[in-house]
Amino acid sequence: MLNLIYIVATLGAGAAGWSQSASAPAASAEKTAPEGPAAIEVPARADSGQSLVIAESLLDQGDAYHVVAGEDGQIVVTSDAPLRKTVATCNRVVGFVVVPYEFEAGQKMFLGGAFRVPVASLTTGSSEQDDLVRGPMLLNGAAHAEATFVITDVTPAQAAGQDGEFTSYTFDVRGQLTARGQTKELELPVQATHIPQNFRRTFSRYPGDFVSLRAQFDLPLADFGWKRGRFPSKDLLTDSVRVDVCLFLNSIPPEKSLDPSISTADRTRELKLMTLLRDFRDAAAGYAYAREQIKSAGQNAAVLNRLAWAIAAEPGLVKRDLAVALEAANRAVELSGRNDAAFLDTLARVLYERGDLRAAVEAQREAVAKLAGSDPQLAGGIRAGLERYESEAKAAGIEIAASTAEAKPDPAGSASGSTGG
Amino acid sequence: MSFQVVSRQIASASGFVMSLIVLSSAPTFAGDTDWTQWGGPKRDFVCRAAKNLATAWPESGPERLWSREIGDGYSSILIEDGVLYTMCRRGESDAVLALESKSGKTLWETTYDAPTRPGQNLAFGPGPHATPLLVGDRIITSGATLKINCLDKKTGKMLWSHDLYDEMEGDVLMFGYGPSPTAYKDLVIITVPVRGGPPPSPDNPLPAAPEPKSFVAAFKQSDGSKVWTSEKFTRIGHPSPLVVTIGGVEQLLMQLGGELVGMDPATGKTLWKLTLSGDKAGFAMSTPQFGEDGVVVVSAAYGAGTWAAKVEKTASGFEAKELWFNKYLRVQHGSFVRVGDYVYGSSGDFGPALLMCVDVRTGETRWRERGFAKANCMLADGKLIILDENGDLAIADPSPEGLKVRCRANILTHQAWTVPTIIGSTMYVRDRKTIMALELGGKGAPVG
Repeated sequence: MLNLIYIVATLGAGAAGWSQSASAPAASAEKTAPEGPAAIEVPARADSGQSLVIAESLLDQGDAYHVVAGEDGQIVVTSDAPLRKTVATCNRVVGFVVVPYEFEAGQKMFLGGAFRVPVASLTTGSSEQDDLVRGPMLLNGAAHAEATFVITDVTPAQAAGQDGEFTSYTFDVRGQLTARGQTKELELPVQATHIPQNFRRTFSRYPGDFVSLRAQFDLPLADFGWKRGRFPSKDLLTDSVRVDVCLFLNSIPPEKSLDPSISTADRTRELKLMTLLRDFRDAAAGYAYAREQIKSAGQNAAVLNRLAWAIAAEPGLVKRDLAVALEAANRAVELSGRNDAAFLDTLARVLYERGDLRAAVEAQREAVAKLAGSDPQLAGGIRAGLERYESEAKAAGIEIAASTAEAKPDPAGSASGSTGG
Repeated sequence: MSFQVVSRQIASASGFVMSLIVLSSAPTFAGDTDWTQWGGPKRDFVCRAAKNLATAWPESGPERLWSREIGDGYSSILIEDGVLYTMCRRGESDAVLALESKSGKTLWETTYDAPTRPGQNLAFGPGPHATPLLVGDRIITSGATLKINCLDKKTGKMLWSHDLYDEMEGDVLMFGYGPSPTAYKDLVIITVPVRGGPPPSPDNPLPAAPEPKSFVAAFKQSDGSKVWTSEKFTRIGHPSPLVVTIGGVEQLLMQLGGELVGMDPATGKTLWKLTLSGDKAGFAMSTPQFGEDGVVVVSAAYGAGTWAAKVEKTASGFEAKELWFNKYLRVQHGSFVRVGDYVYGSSGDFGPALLMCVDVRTGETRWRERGFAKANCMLADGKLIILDENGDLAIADPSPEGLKVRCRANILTHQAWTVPTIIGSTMYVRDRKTIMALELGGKGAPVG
């Protein structure tokens, strides 16, 4: 029954499919497989690339929880062969589950759910092994950019323990796993824990309610069309790999910023850039998109500033095009009349990443001079940045004139007379 | 500390007569034509002075009478005798403003130093979070840094002030103090969080043993002198208290986390306490709803829910008992409203929110609807007014049978967490950047 509901619920999801670059395979809704069981549709990536499109009919019945991307060890795949232990991990899973509004033990916990995993995001710690895992021998990322899993049914959930407000359940999830173009029906025992938002235990990391999802299972590689003959030694790769899944899902969509100055539309564009550069490791498409964003940002200095910061400082990017970052940072600084400490701080970081320590110190000193009235946390970070750049410049033997004095805050309040009818 | 009266254009600008009579009093309820405290005359978010609201708007939304920039903050807007009063942030100061209601023009603005407190988290803005109180010829304010001030409402002149952070070792509750002051006769009553150790965190959970978290203090409206302080309570109190009458006895009704407390507002003596089931409402912020049937409804987010309790007078005092608990309606910090036997509110915290209707008699969920972000709900002219945090304003029919939205338009863009104020068919509303007046009585084609 749930299977039918889900199929109906996902019809039309492809219309909002995620538009990716020409150079990367499309990731929009697709029939899962040319072979294997009757394939069902995989919900498309939303515009941001960091969530999937969820059918309205599902949202009418329950709360959606979105995978928190970036958590380490979301998926760990292990081949424990006698001569080589290969551990491939992924922290760029995107997906969701929908939990019924008034869910209780004994009921089905998931009304639906789906996940997408970019093959390019699997890492082993060795570039040689990465190439093997992502390459035509195994997952063939060039032809099949993502592996997917769609939940088709679940068994009723059994209560499995309570730890304060954390309530755990065990049940079986049935679904279709698709990798390297091959689809396989799976039935997996899982443990899911509902974690209401809690200032003591969750809020310091993320706001919102959580569901954690854990599963471990063995996956025969032959089920996905892999043949031993293409990889001769059992001493180097096992026939069946161990898959360990550990997902955290949050009730707040990734596109929503808690900072009211960042609109959902801006946040969506920023996430899309990161999806290209980090999840799909597609530098050409990513920086083409970044240049489009610089053009379309117009006079929006905050957007330009965040774009520059992301390119310069976000971890895990396939490449940092610091020329693009510098253009965005310079424009943000100029649009603000060189009066915004945060924008100057970003410019300094871009210059630092480019190796121009002297210019970085000068820009960061300018940022410190504009700190009056700033958020104390921001001010602390900017001052720490200056210490770091000055220290490294000194160590590198770069002589820079003494710092100028930091401006004093306006005791009367900087905008006390700014109102009018 | 510096006080600055920035602008004084009083009599010449508005033409109203300055009163020289200095009286201390409760908020002006008479006629319900004013909105002189948080939540309105009865602190129940019912606009009894609203009338002739439209059930359809033109595609462009309701007519905008005026609009202007205002500083940061969530303080709602008071109105009395054609003057609007609210607060906003100016750098490291708070500002109290009086505006002409028909134009939005500043009549006076007074700022006072209010630097961010150590450890105060500004993730949701620097405040002010609370709404002032108009009593007699005065306006009494509470800022996010726990500074309490009383000003002359005609001139903005500072009359007295207290820094309860310093004077009473008060706390600003992690994200800034938010309870609004409450009037009782010649008193102004303030809940005071107690400063303790560092705020809770994964590495520093709340101590197992209860420790004092809050108390209540009353000051004379006339000169700010302290009249009483209550016992110390072991829970914090974000929700603004309200004065209600139970069994013929006036009392201050407070929600302190998962505890309801009734207190004699004249003396600060505790009359009764009720610990709500589960004691999960530790971060309750929304204001309790008190019905004519004596039922109190309170709600909290962060995995909590909604409770109803009934307090009755007995021969020996008061007896409070819980009626029901609904774990699905979880109002974070917005207003919810009771209409007849049902409460309407927005359930959710930082993510998606659902508008919900719950039966006050049973606690049963009657309906839930997607389509709005986290919202404030109030009642005006018999209609449900919904303003969500994205600035979408809607007029709907309050019905246990389902949500029927009559008209809807986007009016604000910068975190519209502030409950609007409606007098006649004019709505005064703000977000963290803009304040405006809207005509809700206009006629036009139905919207979408």
